[in-house]
Amino acid sequence: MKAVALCAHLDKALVFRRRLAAEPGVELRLVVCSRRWPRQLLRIGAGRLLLVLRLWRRGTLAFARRGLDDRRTLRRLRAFDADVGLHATDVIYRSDTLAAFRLGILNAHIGLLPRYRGRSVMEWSLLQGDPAGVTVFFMDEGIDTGPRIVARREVDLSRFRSVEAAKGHLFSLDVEMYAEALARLREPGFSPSPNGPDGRRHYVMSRLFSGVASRILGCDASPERLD
Amino acid sequence: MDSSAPTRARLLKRALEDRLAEVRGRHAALAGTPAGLSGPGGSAGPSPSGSAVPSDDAEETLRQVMVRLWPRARSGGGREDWLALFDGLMRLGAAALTDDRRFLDAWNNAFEAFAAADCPVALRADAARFLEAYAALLRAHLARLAGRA
Repeated sequence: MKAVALCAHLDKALVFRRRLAAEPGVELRLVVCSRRWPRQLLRIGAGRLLLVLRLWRRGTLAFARRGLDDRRTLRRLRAFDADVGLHATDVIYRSDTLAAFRLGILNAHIGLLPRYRGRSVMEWSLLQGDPAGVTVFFMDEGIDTGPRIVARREVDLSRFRSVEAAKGHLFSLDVEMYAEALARLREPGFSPSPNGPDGRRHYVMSRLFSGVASRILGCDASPERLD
Repeated sequence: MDSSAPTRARLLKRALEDRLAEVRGRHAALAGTPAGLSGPGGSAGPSPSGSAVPSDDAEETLRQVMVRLWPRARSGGGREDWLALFDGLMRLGAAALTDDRRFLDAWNNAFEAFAAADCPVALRADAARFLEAYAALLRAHLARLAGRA
């Protein structure tokens, strides 16, 4: 299976490489999509710079200074003839970009779909007393509305004492979850589960409710702090 | 109800009580009198309707409020932007009484943006109405939580 990690940062691209390059049955390419990639390159350090140059020469790593929906970038993406894109940028994809991959682009969303779409979903899960977790699904042009869910994992956050730390942990699971999703896609007869219509779009949570979510997390970690 | 539900209800109740006090203070400052909004013995506000499901219209109004009106008002918006936000929120009044807290949170976000902004003199009467309606919503949610915490 040919996969392309679409990354906003070179550092992240190297995390993808470390975790997925040796994955059996996966041919991985890395694309760093940023106007600032030359600056990122300068900051990466001598040791990793050699690795980056090696990957670039082999054609495993490419840099895209223009947007992903730019005509020339799209032509390069299509030339990869990839099955799957792995989302690690901060952009919303247009249909042309999504269609540049045979199966589509996967997104590791830090909420459990179909229920928790949109923003601040980890905090909303805490506020509602629902499990938190990560869902990997094929994106469409909507906000977490892509209809095919490939992997979904509930994550216990009780050891975290702050929303930031808990959220950081969920974000850090993305490459691991992509590995799981790619393994599933390679299973014979695998069929994604539907991202049903029950979900609701969530929005940026207020400071008031974020504070409550944070205290709920703190209480989970140390019940004596309740009183 | 899961075992942590009473804890969540207690934390939420405490936060809403603090917010209600803050709203009363803002309202009093706006009116220039200490009278402000009714206290704990005052009107309980709209009746809670926790089991009701917000309509698709409310869902679309929420999207417009959170994606367009609120960002516009909070980033240096003028009188018209704030009025549009208040109008959008008033249309979410019934939905904000339900257990779907996304709708109440649109009001929370609007209040936080309002509290951080300089209120234009020409907006005072509308802002006072917004604060009164918000306080009524908070009281309604507090009345419901009183039985859970």
